[in-house]
Amino acid sequence: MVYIFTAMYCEARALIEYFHLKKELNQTRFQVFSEEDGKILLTVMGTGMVSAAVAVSSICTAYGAGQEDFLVNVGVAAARSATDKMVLCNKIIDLPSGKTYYPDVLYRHPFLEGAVSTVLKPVMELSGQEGLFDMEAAAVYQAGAYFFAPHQMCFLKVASDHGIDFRKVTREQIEQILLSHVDEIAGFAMRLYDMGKRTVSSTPKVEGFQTLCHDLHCSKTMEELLWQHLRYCALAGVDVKPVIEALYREKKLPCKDKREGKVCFDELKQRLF
Amino acid sequence: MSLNRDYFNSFCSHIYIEQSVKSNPRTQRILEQFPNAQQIEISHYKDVFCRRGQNYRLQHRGQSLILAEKKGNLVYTGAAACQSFGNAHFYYTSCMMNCVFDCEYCYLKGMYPSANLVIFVNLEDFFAEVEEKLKSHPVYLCVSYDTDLLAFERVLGYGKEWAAFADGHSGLEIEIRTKSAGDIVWDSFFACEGVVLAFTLSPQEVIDAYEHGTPPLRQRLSCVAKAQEAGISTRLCFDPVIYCPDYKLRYGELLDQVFSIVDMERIKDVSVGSFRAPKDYLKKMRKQYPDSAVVQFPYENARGICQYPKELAEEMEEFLVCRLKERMRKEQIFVWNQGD
Repeated sequence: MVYIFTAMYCEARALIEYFHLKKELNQTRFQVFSEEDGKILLTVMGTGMVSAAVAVSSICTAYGAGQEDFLVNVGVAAARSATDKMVLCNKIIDLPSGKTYYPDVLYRHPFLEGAVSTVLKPVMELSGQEGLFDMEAAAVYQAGAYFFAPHQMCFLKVASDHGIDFRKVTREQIEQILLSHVDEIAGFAMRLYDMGKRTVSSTPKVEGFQTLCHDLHCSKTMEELLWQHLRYCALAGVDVKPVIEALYREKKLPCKDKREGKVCFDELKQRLF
Repeated sequence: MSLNRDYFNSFCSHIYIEQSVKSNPRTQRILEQFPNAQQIEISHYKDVFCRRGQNYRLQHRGQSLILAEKKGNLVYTGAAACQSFGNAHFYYTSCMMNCVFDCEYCYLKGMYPSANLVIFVNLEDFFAEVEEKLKSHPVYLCVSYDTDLLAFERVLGYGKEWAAFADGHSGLEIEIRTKSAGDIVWDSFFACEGVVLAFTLSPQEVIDAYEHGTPPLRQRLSCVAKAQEAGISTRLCFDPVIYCPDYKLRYGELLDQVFSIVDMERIKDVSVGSFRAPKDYLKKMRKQYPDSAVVQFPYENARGICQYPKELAEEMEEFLVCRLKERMRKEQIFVWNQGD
């Protein structure tokens, strides 16, 4: 699943409409929107670092975010030299603490790249300052890091004002700014979803493991050792079945107690390698 | 795990640069070679390299570069899991961390939290520390352990810099270990006092299965032969030896090929060692590579080092040693054992 977080509803609206998201009525603290096939979950966090951290941690806990999921923080920001291009942030500076965070940029994307600085209150004076300024990214990253690896978090910011004029920007204007980027954001989110499905490695299935454990009277340690042997054989294409069948034929399996089980396991190892 | 490479950013698409080395000439030279890379300024390389929860496996699909200055201790005493080749004063150093090659069994995957490449541009400081050691005793120094320096030689040129340094310092012998096979490797520049090029060799089946991105065996052997022609002191490393059910056939064929292409009389020495890795590293490797047979082998833990069952390890090593003795004196054959 791709978890999208925005600070304001007006930043989310274009995506809600694009993906035909429906409001989750059982969520009362934050506005949460989802789609039927469970690919996208969008949360409106509220503005500021505390709201952002609380929203990310509560939603990711509630929905069980994991290694095949992604977090995407989308929103507007202030910039001295305003550009209408969407920026993928490769560096997040938490100005109150002075700490800096670096999301991995592993996947190709259609955006510009740059840094964003997170501040506690709207920045009025931007002269001499480079990059973007927002009020959530650093908190989203820090909270997200409890659930996601650095390559699973993406921060997309677009300039909406120059700081001094932020009060003049209307919700409708923010909606328009996001609407003009909705295709590229949605396309990127779907690619991430696709990547998440592909990148999770699976451990091989080992047939008859439980029966063999039982018949060998395995202790917990021996069970782990046996699992490691059978797992290797499955991965290396070593056919373990004839070896085990031979032990049954020779009446060495099933064993009558732990001591006999240990001897039989040693013999199994000898026959395998 | 099926992944479309097109989804990933290209190699070195992102370069992180410590503020303190931004104006270093080496930094500038490296940056010139990646004109389209995103440059990201950082305070300290560990801010990027040591982040929590990085995915080594995915990062290796599109490695980033980190340019930094190494401070503190720069030359380390040789580790127990490494072969000293009988040298009393055995050291190694890491002016580059991580490798462009992607060998599934590589201990770097368990040692480092990140797959990104770190290059320390203050090479003079490394030289100065070696010179300090040389004041009290001779030094045998491995400069390409936690990386493959020659695989990145075109970009970095560190192999040549180390060779020039070794050539000018008596009492210093450096080993540059590699799996690469380009013409830069057999450059006569390496034919100097105190430099040993060590070529890691594996059967082609092992290369295909586990040594992703490395040159094929035939190319490596041809490179060894050319290095010999250029007068370079060469070492062959059958290390790690990887178990497969038909290992005698595979490693037998490997040695047949070696003997047919390489002049064994001009080989300085060889090392033989079956796979081994510190327990903690292997644990991390198994987590990152749950579907890798070589990582998931049920190794036995002997004093913190995971290795093949003793009998199997000895059998494999003995097989190689026996065949090598056909062409070499036994004093030239170094077999790793934990007591070294």
